[in-house]
Amino acid sequence: MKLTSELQKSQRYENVPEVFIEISRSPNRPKKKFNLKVNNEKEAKKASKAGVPILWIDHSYTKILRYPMKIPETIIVPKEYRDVVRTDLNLNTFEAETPFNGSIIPRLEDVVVFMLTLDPLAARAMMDRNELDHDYLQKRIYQENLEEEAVDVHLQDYLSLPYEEFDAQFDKERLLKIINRNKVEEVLP
Amino acid sequence: MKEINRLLKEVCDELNEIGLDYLVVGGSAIEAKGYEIGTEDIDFVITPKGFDEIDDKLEKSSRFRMIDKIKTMIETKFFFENAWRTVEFLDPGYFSGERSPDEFIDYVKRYRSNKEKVGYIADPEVVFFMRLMVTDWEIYVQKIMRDIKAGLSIDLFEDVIRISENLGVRGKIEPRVEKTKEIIDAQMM
Repeated sequence: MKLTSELQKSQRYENVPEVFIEISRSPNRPKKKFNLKVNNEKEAKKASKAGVPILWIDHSYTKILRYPMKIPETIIVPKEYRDVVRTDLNLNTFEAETPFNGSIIPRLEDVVVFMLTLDPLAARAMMDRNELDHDYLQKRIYQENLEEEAVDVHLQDYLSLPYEEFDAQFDKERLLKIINRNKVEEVLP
Repeated sequence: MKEINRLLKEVCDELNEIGLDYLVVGGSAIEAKGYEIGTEDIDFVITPKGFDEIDDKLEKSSRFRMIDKIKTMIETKFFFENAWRTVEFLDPGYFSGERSPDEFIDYVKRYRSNKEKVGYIADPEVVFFMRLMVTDWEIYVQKIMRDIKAGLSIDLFEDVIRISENLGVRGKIEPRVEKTKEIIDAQMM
């Protein structure tokens, strides 16, 4: 037996947006089944407008969080949606539905959560350089089971984490040295 | 009087003394309007003529020390209450869009600033506009968010669009305004 997810058209949608690809129509099942095709931000917006929980993250967020770096264009969906998404982009999933709020724009704390999976050093730098909602971030780290990744980069400096259960991967002095190599160059103060 | 406003007054007195024409911009302009955003730096826009003459003019003052002169910005230190504080002078050509730098300053002085005892202080929408004009505008999104949390209205973005229209850069600024508003909405939900 295998648990699979599927997308079905709700009654309120007369026309199905083009980001949904019909995959089958069983004679015994009146409802059509769809996959979701998202290969750019515009398509992510269309899917979101049609009610799909989806977030879009690109390198602009690393600038907003004051640790500029190139990252792959990424879509994030709840883990139950993984099997129905067809994309050439980086596809990531979140365990919790908390971050999905009807818009493709993520909360900045959720970008940090994503960065913990992609580049924990960058996530640490983002914590150092921004005033984030620590309560929300802590809750999200536990929801996504990222405590070990968070401890690796000493986020216990900011959050209540079970650091005694894990060995931090980075020596703190070395960690801060690496982070400081990527400084934000500002034209305006 | 708050420290930042005392510093602003002393810097402006000194600039008037040495005969440098200026416009107060950046976070200090917002602080001067009574919003507590916690900025520590002082920023000015000066005319192209002032930009050319600044070395000679600052040499007349024992309280200024030139630190760095790059294409778009001059960084100086100003001696204030036993410490050297950062004061930056910006090239208006970076923000004037289709207009000349002098026209930009004239426009802001006439329509988008108040003349206070210390001199012309740009209105907050000018500060937002300038932040959204730079190449790495995303870096400033959180500063705008901070200022809105401090009490500035999100409706200022309408004035930002008007400024961009006036300077012939609406096509560049409007998408940046939209993205900034979306990000702010996502954080404040």
